[in-house]
Amino acid sequence: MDDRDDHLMRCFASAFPSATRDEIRAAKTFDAIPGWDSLRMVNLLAVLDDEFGIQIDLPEVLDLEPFDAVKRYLSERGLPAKELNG
Amino acid sequence: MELPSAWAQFCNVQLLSKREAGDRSRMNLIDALESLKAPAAVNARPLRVFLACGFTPLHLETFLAASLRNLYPERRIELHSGLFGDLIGNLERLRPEEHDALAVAIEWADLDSRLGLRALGGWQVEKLSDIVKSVDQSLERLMSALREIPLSLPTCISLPTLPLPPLFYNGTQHSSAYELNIRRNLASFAEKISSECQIKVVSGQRLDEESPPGKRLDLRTEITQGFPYKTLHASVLGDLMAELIFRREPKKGLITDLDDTLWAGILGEVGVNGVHWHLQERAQLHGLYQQFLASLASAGILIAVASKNDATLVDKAFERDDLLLSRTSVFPIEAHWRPKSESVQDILTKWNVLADSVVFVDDSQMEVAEVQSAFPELECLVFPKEDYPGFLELLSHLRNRFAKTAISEEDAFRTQSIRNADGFRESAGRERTSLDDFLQQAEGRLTFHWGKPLDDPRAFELIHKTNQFNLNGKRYDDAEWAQFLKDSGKYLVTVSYEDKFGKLGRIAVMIGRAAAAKFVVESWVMSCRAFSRRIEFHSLQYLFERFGADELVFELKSTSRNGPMMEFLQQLVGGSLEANPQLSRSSFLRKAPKMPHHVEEMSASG
Repeated sequence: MDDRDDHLMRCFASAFPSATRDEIRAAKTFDAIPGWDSLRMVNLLAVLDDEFGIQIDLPEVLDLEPFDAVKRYLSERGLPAKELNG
Repeated sequence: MELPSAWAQFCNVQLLSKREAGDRSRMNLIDALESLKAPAAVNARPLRVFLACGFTPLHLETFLAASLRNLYPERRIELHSGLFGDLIGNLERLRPEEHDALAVAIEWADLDSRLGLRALGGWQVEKLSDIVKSVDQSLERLMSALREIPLSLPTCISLPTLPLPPLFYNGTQHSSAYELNIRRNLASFAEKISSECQIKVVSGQRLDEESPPGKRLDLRTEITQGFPYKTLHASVLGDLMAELIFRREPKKGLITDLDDTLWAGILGEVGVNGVHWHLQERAQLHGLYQQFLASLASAGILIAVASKNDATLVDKAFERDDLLLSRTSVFPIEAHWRPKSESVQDILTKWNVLADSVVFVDDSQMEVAEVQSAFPELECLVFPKEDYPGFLELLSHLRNRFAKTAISEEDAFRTQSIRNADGFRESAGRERTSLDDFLQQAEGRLTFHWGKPLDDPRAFELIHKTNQFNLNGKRYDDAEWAQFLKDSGKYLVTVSYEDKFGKLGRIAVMIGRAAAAKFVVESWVMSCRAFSRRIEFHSLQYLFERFGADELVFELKSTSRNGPMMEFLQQLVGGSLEANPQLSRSSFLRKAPKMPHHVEEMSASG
């Protein structure tokens, strides 16, 4: 896992505190992440906005594998991260 | 002489930077969520805080909880909030007994939904007067709800922080009469809740400094989630609210240098009339610093001088009638050519306070480093004599270090009292008479104040600032103190003292409970100014008599600082001081020396 992946994983882990990193990576959809609820989803979106300065358009990623989908979404937008190394 | 920065860093010299001036660095949402992820200790006592707001509390709740977690690491933080869109109703329905603190975040929409961005009630010209009237009514209702909150529940409130929407016809560059009317009523409301209800109002100025007003609103999340704040704003506001809930122990004293610090110029070179602190002499920063120190002194903060100087010249300089810091506000003045660390040691001895309660200010990095290396716990700051922004940051920083929520009667004469105590010690050491005779001639009068006044912070203050003559170092947070005040099974006695050398004011506090023929002392502190007068013996005698106790039980705990208390009890109880040592009345009477003071009892409310 490179620095960028690690930073992104930190974002997911902070929003879904009861899920392990493996569970987050393996989840096929957002609601399959252990502990998922709408409030945690809101937290994830806010953390991603805070950390990378990007507002995720939820419908674009909602039905995809969460971690990879968000990673791809950020990459496509040039990842204007404040700090890649988190 | 300038020090290499590495050495200054090594010596832990604190050069205030802009970041430090605010005493904080902003917490990101990810940090807040991660800090809340760590479980609290199994036996951690809960700290139950109700966050009252009309919007979805969302990230404000997260940041407030995380900041409280940082401030109260030993507590389990429990945040509760009420119904969306009903701030006033949430306050009206609040059950204070179920919470330890209350944080209220008001926004414009709570005062009239037409001032928010989620309602469509209309902004037509003919509706503006009604909006003003409706805000006034909401403020009255809010005031009524807040008046029902008991004083014992620590409460902080933030006034609307978001910009008003562009609803007034004047244009945004022009404050309309409607807006000014609303803001005037809001200011009047804030003044009343602060003075009448003792509610702490979040400083708008401080909020503006840390969270730019134009960058607070997040319209997207306001509309989609009902949460109106950008995360930066939520972070700053949550942190400030947590600080108001949390009571930080203020520092007790400030030791200042003179040359190029209290005044501009080197006294030994330019003479008494050659040092300056006025605008016309381009020395205004030093005048402002003097004015600031005088303000601290008037609030009961101890001010002393440590200067490498000629003592006679310093005395003459302090006779100048244009000095803004009066000679009587300063004690002691250590002016000689020995190392500054020796002066600091002498001052700490005369004040009888520990280094970690004191701030040292000097323009010389060299001197600051020398003092810091001798007293690592002392907060040492460099006076930024040529740095205007840095100077203002220094004043703000110092104001926060010495912040108090109220000024007590004792604050008015603390310096004089310390001076008297020093005179007392000197006289006691000089007199050839025995201590018994000396104390008898001192004409001491002790008053035991019995009861629990709700609006008097002195007992709480003493318990929190006294370290040496302290039974166990127990501290109370606001909620615990409120709980104690309500507990009819626990007693509070404060002790005041004066003698022919002057007034010491209230200098001791005892808290305990009666248990059959015993009285259990749960907390007992006495200011170090009152040492050597046998007030501690009088205090125990009072407890024996007041409660008809045959035995006193002390909930004693050794701390790193309470040596004087340990020695005192050792002398009375004898043997090894095990947990909860006991002292019988007969043993006390056998071992206690002659108690010389006139004693009386007063109701604390009278």
